Amino acid sequence: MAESLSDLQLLLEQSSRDLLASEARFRNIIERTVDGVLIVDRQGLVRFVNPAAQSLFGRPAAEMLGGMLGFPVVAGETTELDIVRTSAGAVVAEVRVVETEWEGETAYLASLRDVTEREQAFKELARRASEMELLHRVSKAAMVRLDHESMLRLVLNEIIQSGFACGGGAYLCEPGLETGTAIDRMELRAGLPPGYSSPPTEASQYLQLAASPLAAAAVRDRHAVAGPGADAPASQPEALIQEPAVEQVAAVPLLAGESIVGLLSLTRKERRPFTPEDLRLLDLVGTEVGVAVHNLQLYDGLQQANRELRQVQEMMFQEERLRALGQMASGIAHDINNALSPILGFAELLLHEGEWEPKTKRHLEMIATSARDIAVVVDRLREFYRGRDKQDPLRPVDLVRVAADAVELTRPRWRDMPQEQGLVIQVRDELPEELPPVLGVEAELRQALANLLLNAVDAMPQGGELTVRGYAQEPWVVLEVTDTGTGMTDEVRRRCLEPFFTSKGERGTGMGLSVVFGVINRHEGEIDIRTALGHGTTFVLRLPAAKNGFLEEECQPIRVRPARLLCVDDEPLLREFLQDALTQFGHTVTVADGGQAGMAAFAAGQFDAVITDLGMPEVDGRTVALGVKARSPETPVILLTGWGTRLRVEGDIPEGVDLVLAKPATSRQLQMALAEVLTAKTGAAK
Amino acid sequence: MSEFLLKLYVSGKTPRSERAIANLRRVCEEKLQGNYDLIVVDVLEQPHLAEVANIMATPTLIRELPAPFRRIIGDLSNGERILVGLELEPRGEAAQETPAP
Repeated sequence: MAESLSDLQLLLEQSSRDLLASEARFRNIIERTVDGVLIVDRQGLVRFVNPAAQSLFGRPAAEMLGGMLGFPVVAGETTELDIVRTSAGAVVAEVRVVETEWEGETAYLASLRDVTEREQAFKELARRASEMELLHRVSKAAMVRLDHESMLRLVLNEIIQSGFACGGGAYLCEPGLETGTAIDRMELRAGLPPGYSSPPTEASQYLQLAASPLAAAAVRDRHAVAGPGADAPASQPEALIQEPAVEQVAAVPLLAGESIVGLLSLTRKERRPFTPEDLRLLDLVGTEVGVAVHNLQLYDGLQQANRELRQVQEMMFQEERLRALGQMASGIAHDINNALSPILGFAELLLHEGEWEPKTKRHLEMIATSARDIAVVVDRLREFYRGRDKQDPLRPVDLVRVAADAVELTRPRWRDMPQEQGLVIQVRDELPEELPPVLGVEAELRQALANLLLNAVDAMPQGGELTVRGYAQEPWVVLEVTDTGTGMTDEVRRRCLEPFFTSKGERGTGMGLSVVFGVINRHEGEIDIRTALGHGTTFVLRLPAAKNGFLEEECQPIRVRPARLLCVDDEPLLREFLQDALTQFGHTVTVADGGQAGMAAFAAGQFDAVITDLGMPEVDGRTVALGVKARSPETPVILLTGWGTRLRVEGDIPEGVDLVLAKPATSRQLQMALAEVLTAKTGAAK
Repeated sequence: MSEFLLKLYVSGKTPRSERAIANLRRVCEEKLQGNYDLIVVDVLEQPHLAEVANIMATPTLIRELPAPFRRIIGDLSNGERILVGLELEPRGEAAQETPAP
């Protein structure tokens, strides 16, 4: 019994030792384990804490034991806790909880593992992902082919929707700014509140870099910069529009390669500063958007160039067509006139010389009348192509009066004739009191305008409204004739200025508008036709306003130093006129009655210039010109001819001739021609 | 005045905090039918409040009313566990189950 007692004693001691050893081992394990271990009772009070847990919490055991942690709840295997530490540095712990027993009561063993680094890595990953997401959204928005404003607004929207900023503005430099030019201001092209209103107010439209240190720094360093918003509103009024709601602001230059095309400014309402990572991201955004802006500018330029090219092409095509038609018309006119001369001549000869039966006489008269009518038609045809004549007497013309005259001239057609048919055409005079003068031939301009008015009347078979408008628009003086008539198809609009083209069937000659074209062309003006089928037509005539200097020049006498002149003409009357007219200007005039005599006179004397008729028997003007040049290449030759206009226009100036002058030439025209050739000679000598 | 006064301590505006707040609101709406007041305390913004309440980790949820205080820590997505942990059994619900004689 005693033996068994002592055995038991021994067993107990052994067990106690084992227990102690086991407890020590257990404690040792707990103490040395890298995971924090806490035992918490049902109330949430801390009953045990190992060293790893103490360092995790940053508190000594004494402070933690008996403290209230809270009843640990874990759904699933683990949960994460943010450890609240008095010292700096956030720590995140992953927690597992198992039920256990502590001093005879149910308790909970919580093991905590420091996962701060893993958490940080996750955060960094998430940040990168959201950065990529933002960049993707921005570049997608920037690629949309829109106008600048819409594109920039889209970009801002994406940035704001991603939560990166609350509001923002996009500024652009003036396009075409050369690289290296100092940028001093930019224009707000898109803005979203807070910080920006859209459309921009007058005050916020332009960003003066000198007034915004933040924007200036971003442009200078070509890098995103951030600053407090509401703290310094006075120093950067444009960037922040004095909104106290804005806490933070960042600015980044929009870069296309090396050059700055604009600036992006972003605002945040909450106290969430722009971090260095944010600014790095903004640099990428700035490049992305900058390139997009640049591309859009190039694209715009390309489109503009394309449009202009097409316009020029169309214009050239049109002009080429009109020129070809004109040349043809002119050729035909010449040939018809030639063929017409004997018809008319002989018809008249027969009428005057013979004794005819009344019937035959009437027939002859009809032939003559028809031939004269043809001549008139042909003349009109030539009008279309006739080029601007240097010696045309250009005078200052008052277009207000010309327009009023034209309206008056056409009155029978827009009032009396429609009235007979019970139609009303209302004429609205929207001419100003006065317009700057243009230089031109008044009769021609009046004719052109009258033609336009008649055309407008014809376009309103049901009556309507006819408006004549005038205004100055540097460097033009503009006249507009608007009708409320049928309008034109595209085809008609393109071709209506061509000679013989008409949409009026039998009623039209196809000459009215082509004469207008010829007149305006000669006056170096432009014609614009605005029309739509069923919506009436407006003809816009633009004529160059006379320059002041030119007006004075017109009135001044032409100064030519007295010269020794040789005039050759087989017409005695013309010889006399030339002598009288030129002597009156102080020149010394020698006359010769034919080519032969002229050449002889030139060989015998000394002359500064020669004026010769073209058509002379035996030796004509061309031969005289060649002879003069052979003897003295420096001496200018002026050719007088009834063909003057045509020769000049076609550039068909005979060899040896310096200037062609159309008959009949006035004394002023003669003097101007002399001025031209003699000055040219002096100029060339220099 | 509501029957329950709850205070939730979180650390900053992190996704974890947002999740804790959303979870708790959902649970409270479900289980307490709006009969509660919830105060959210950001310990980063108001560290002195965390110190006073001796908050060791977040999210920590404290039932301040009715007394005595009950405190849980950890995952707030499971309604049942929160109810058990905080000993939240609204009286209204109990009364409904056993109607007064």
